[in-house]
Amino acid sequence: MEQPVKYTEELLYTELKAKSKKAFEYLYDNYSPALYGVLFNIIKNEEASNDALQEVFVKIWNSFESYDPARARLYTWMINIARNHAIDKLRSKAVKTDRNLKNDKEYAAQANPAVMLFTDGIGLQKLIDELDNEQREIIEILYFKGYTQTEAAEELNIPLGTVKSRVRLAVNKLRKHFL
Amino acid sequence: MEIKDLIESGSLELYVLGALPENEARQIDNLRLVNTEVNDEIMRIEDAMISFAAQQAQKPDAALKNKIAAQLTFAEDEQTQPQQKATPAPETIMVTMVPSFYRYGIAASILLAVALGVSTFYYYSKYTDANQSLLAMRSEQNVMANQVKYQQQETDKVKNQLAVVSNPTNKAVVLKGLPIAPQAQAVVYWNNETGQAYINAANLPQIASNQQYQLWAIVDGKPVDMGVLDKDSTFGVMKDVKGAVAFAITLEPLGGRPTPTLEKMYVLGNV
Repeated sequence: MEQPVKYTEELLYTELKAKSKKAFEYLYDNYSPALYGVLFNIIKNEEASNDALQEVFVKIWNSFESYDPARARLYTWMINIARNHAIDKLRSKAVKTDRNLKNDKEYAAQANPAVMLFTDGIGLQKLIDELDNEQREIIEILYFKGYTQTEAAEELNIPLGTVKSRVRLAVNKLRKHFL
Repeated sequence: MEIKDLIESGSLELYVLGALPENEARQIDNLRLVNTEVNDEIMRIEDAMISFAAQQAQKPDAALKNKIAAQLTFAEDEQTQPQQKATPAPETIMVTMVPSFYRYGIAASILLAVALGVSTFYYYSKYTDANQSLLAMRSEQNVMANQVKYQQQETDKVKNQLAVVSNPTNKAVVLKGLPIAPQAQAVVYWNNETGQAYINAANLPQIASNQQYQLWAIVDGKPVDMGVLDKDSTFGVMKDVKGAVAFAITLEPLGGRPTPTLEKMYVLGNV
């Protein structure tokens, strides 16, 4: 494999829009582990995650036209596509197996959030320890399950304001961790 | 809502997570464009979420890369592949269904339309430019015309003054300062045949805005009003007078008086 060029996000975006193969190589080599990690953490099945990664890349490749750099960074945009794709997959699977959203959520609530959330790794374990249960729960439900703020408030049976303050606290802890 | 409150609220975290209702998200889209504080905060939240995603990163199956690449269309492929094999774009399909002579016709019309559009725009901008230049030139021309007019008036004045001063039939009477203003001086140019009179009052003291100098002639031992001096000009045409033996200037209220205020007599000169 050729040594890939180092791209800035802006240049990468321009090259990707032009559908350059080199840009794809760079994109895949640098972003696929993060995207796969996101998919796997939500889907929790290796084979399904492999399929999902292919689908997500095709989706990303064909949607650069709709990417607005003013609204999100490329990385965030792609992670959100992966997240939403994985969540959609889970939900449609839930429908197929006659498990409605409510059941799916009950299933999620029963599981230990820490185990649900994170696969392995010492860094992740440290991160979990820094979040309290409420914060783990809100990250789980918003990040890994893709609930809207209203859905989260209903699910956790807390006011919208509490959803907001909890997510703020949780993300602040993540921010401090990654500082 | 205050910016600080918005940042503290948790809405920006929900924005990055995509958990906000569409309308609220669009508001933040717009706000971050104009408010750097909000935008910076969003970027920091994004950084955290990116690191969070990176923390979960796992290398996918090595075979996936080629599998994915096989499903994508690259610019490089499109260039090297023969035209027939390239995935036809919807526009191409439309065009190929049309007979070729129509195709040229359509292409020509499109070209013509584009050319017309471009040239219209080009000439319109030219027209706008020219129009603006014309307006600028017109206003410049107005300024210059006014200057010329003003210069003409000044020249006429000087010519008139020179004609008065150099006319041998005009007598120059020097009016000298009186004790009230010893330095003051004025000159009356007077034609004793026609009675025409002019004043040069360049050397009179400054006066208040509610005061005015007034010229008098002494005829048969009595003061005769020759009019007030123009406050804005040092040279002026005064009223005709005949049989004058002396001229004097007094300081009077604005507009002058029918009889001179003798104690305010500034200059006096005998013919």
